[in-house]
Amino acid sequence: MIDLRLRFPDEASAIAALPALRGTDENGSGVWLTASHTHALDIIGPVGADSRWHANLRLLPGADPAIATAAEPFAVVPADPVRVWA
Amino acid sequence: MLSASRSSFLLGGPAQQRLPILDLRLALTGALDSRITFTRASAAWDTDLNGNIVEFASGAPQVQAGIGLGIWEARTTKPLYSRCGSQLLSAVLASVPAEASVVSETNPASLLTNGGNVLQIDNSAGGSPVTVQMLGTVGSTSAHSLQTFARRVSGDPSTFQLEGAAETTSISATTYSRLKSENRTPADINRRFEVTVPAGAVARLAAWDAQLGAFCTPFIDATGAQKTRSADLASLLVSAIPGWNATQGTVVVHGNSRSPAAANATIVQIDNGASANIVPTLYHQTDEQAVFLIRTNETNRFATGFGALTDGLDWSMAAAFESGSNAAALNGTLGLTNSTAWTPSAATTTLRLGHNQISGSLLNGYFRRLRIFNSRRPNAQLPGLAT
Repeated sequence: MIDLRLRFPDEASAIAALPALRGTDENGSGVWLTASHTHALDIIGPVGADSRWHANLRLLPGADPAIATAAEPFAVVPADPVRVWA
Repeated sequence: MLSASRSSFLLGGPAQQRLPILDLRLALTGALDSRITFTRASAAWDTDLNGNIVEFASGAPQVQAGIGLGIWEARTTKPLYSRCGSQLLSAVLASVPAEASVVSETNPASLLTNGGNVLQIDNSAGGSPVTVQMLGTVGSTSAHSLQTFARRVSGDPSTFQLEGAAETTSISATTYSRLKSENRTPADINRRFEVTVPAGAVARLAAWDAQLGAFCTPFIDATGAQKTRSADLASLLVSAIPGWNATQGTVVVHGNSRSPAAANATIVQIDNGASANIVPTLYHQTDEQAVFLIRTNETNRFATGFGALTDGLDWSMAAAFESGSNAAALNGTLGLTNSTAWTPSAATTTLRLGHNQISGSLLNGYFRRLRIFNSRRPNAQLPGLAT
């Protein structure tokens, strides 16, 4: 299992970096795939005055290694994370 | 427990059988069939039949005897208000006099930081019903929710919920219940819980929590930072079901939806994996109406009009599907039929329980039993199956 706390300049940057975590709903709109049998994505967005786009990503066994590779450049290690996995 | 009869194949297709080829008795057994792939990337909590908080480790399904399999969307706590409060409950309402009494806590600031939201009432001594009243006005604009549970320590599985501005309801001596309220502003949460208990009963305000989102899900234990409980995902490949029929079938589901979802809540979806060619899906719509959707080639066709679902109450649905002839029944009532043609499903078809193809629109409730027949059962049989 791999836990990554991600921070992007904005959501569009995240969408560009993580296409494997995007899907299309029944109306044809692009959406985040927030869960699957191999991952969980918790979208946080801006944190307080920090307008950058934040998310927590948990990769489970069987996850495509390319997702971790794409996400790791945006990983941060906050001293006091505002949100964690239960 | 799963029962599946042996199948035989005649003329290149599976023989139709009167017995279900899949029978998941989730509430009866409290166990999940090993062929089901289940994922939840975090821990989770729920209450057991005794109203006690139960923790489920990451990856462990929330399946309990007498309750069934819980399927809930991901939810995040409001950090100020959420924390398991078992200690606190004892402090607030630990002792109730032997005679009929009122126990209340007004503007419970301590509860706000010690949260939880489980109201546990033991009325095993019987006598007068226990009355639970949550005072305060209902907020409708804030995007977070407050939930209250109450369960009879022993009793039948009937459930109910609180609604309205002055929320009052009763728990009889023979029922256990979960109570909830939703769409509340922070000020609304700062309200008074008042519990009237009969002689001999014990009431404890066990815990409560507030969550981001417009309706409540099971309790999330959180201290310090906000915590997110990941979604419950359950699915299985139909290739693991002996006797699966790629061209027709009947799905019968018994379950319970605690709250209407913000979007359509998926009950069962059979997806053949082809783009935009999802075949039958049972939905619990936001208007509380059950819908049997046949989606093929980006076109939705519905079999509907067979009644409403009531949040918190058990329901039963039966949906029969065959290209050109589909129908569904809810709680014994047959709905409109639908004659939409659809593509027979392939061997790679996935049966999803309580979520859709993008792992969204989760059931937010419980599966009690799921049966699949490998033939399209006649319309006349569907009401009987959906009881």
